Amino acid sequence: MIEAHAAAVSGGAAEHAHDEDHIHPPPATWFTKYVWTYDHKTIGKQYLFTAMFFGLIGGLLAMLIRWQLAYPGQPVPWLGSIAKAMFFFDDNGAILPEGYNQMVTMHGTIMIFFVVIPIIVGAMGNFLIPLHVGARDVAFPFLNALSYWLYLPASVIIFASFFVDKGAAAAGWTSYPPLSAVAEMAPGSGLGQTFWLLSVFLLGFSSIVGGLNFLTTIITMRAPGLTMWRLPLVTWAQFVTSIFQTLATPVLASAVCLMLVDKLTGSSLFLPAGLHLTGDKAVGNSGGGSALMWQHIFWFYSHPAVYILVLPGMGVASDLLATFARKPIFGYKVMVFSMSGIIGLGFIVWGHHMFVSGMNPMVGTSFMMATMLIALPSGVKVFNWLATLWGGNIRFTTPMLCALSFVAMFIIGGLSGLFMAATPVDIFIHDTYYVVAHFHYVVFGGTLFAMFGGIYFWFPKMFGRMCNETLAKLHWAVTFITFNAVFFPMHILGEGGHMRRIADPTNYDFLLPLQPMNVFISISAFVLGAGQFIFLGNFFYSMFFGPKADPNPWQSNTLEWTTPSPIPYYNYEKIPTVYRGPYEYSTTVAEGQADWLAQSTPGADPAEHH
Amino acid sequence: MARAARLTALLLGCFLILAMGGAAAWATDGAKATQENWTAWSYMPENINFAYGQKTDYLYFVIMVLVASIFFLTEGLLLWFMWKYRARAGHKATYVHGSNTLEVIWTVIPALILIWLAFAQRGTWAEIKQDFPAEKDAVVIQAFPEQFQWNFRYPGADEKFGTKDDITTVNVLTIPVDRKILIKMTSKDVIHSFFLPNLRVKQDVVPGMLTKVWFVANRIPVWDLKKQQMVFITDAEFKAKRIGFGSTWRWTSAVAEGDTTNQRKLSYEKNPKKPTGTVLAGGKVEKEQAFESVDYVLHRCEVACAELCGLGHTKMRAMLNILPADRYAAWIEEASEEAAAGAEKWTTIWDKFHPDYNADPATAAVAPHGK
Repeated sequence: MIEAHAAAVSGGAAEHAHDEDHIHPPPATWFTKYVWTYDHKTIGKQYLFTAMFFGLIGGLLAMLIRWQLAYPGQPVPWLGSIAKAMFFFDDNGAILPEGYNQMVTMHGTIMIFFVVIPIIVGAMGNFLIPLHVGARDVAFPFLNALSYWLYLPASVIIFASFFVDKGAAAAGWTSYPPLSAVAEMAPGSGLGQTFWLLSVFLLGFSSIVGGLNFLTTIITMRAPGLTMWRLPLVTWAQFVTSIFQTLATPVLASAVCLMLVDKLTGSSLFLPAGLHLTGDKAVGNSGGGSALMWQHIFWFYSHPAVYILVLPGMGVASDLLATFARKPIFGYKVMVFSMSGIIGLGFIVWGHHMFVSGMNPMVGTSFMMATMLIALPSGVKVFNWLATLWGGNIRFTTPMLCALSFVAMFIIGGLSGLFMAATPVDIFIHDTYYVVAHFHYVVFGGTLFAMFGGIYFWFPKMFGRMCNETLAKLHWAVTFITFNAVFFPMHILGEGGHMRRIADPTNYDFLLPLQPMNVFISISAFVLGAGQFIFLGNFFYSMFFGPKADPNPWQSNTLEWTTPSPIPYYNYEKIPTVYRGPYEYSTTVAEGQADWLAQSTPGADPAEHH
Repeated sequence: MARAARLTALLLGCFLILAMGGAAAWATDGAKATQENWTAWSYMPENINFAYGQKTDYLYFVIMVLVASIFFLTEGLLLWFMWKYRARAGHKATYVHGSNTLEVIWTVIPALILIWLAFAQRGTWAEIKQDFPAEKDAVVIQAFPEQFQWNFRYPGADEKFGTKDDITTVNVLTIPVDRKILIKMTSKDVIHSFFLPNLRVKQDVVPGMLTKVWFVANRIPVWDLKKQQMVFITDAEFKAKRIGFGSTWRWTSAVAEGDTTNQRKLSYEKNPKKPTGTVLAGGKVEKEQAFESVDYVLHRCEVACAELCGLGHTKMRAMLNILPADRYAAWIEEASEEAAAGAEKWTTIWDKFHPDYNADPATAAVAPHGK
């Protein structure tokens, strides 16, 4: 056993020998250090800061949406009077219906494409993957820089689209044609929608490039002794996510291209014959296309995109749970298998977004079956997380509170999905607030809590300083309580039949009894929004003035904690050798000493003796 | 490993309870025929489609039982573990990497539940979306929505579409009670979604495609003047009561002065210009009746658009009138005569681009995809 192990180690070392004697010189200028940098850590931070800026915009849009739903037609306090000139508002500063549609569209687009994916994949993936595999950088540092420099212009374009003629895209983040494809059909379907398509197209390339880079890095650049089965789950999750990104994103790019062709050249790929505008004016170029085709192509990407959003969150939660329960993760391989199961099934469930779209109902049945099955790997992960806590010695740090919230909220988001997977039940709750509640429980309650947990956890590695723990706990508490106050009642709205994306629910008699709940949700949302400034304040204050961090403040096992805080640009002076998996906490080997055993501490692998 | 074994036993027990809950829910299946309302405990609008709406709601109820069990099990364990295994001085975590037995248990049992659930709903789905009634057995209506209104067409007295006596309405859908209704839809511009909350019906209306829905409305919406709220009554109850209709009972839905939440107050008020009106009593029409002399006022449900369709989406609302068979027949006759005298409008676009959607049901092949 020991000989075999040593052989594996030395074999690996030979393979990576060139890395050990070769450290690139540090970036010489401010420009190459902070702007056009190849350093994966700085690129990760570039993603983080850009995405945080967009988080503010997306959050502001959410606040405006909530204002309109609680107080439809009432002028927006202070903001309305400032922004009267913008397309969103009327002369009194109240939100216009077309402005509302733009807000809903852009809130979804920005939060998914420009906030959550860039933070959970762009920032976390970039920062962590080379550290977790024990490398000095990613496989293709230039491509890595390119992926950020494709994301940045994409975000500039999407931001600029607010200011073009007739405003930003207003056909929903799903951009269903013909609404999105014919400029006369919605105010934002002209230049705004074209900007939207260009932006998403660029972003798609950023995503593909990033995914390829991560896959190559994880496959080829692992430190000696670091087998795939010794990778932290957060890196496994990025690996799986990268497969999704490289295989699904090109499909989105093709869909976006096709619609651009429709918009710019007057072709009719998505427009069937006989389209008429108000006043029975025929749409000149319509004929021969299929409106449903867009939905198929779009969801072929955008359903996997849901997993791109949540899988890395699952990885972060797994790492944090093991670290702070001081226990090996329960069922490590099963965790990996279940993530692989999610990839396999994730590609064949897109049709569950289309149960009432007019798609052949027999196809709907098969998508329903696949959708029921995809609940399984997620369920297995939940049971394994619970079993990880069992018998633990749980430290309630802020990252841990966030990870526990992830599990608790992900359970709710997963369970509400069962109603939607059941086709007959879905008919009623389709396109209602039930769906809104469901995916916010997964993406906000799940991924965003994992993101906050991850940021609090790796903050000392990123900036060499600690966050203020009291403020962090306060931020967690405010977010957790108000998040539930905002999104749990949305299940009830959905049950009442409250449609998504309507600017004024009080138009409908049957929705009137639900209106007080809309007001309650909105007030909670304003507190939730305000609470995020605790995070921002803490983040930026601690970045400069927080107490200096130890190399390993959480007593964690993975490789990055063996480096100084903050990490030097070359990561590891000497490429580490890995002797065991990432979750060897409370081992019998380390009896009488610390309850942790770093991956690179020379010695036996307790898992093999166990 | 003794602790792992205890955990196994514990979880097995919990799953057993869960399975029993599921079995109990399954056993109540037989009660489906007798119990009308499976979602009375919920916020769902009242369900008046007994053709399949109850099955839908029953499924909702079963999933709720299942989901609630799993919710309390998992969140309960989470909270319990958080308390029981909190860090304490001198305490050390159990060093364990996993248990294959447990993995098998918590993979296989949920898998069985999910597969059961998948098959349990398949029949209802087929009933709703595949097994449409034959057009000769149903009241066939066409819907041709546009930005931002619902256009409906009835075949009129001759029961054929594309003829001079076709009735067209805008934002009003009138149907008979207790009859199978088949609505054939296509869109004039963008994708809309035909949503009848009280009938558990929702179907996107897609340009260039024929989509269909069918349902039965088994209750008539009326307004209780005393309680000032909507109630649903059967056809028999309708015939036994005095029902007012017409302009004497004026629908008001005003926002109270100073209410910033747009909370409209809904009621029927007396029309001062027309203090007496027409009442249906025992199937007969009585004229010149006083405002107060009725049990109920004839009311309506709502049709909503559930797919974002442009800037007027939020106002794309129609009324759904549900009438007793005789009143419906009378309306068709009257409106058909009126229509024969008038000029057609949107129907020319439908008939030009979608003539096959008008086809006689006996000859038209029934394909689920529309074409």
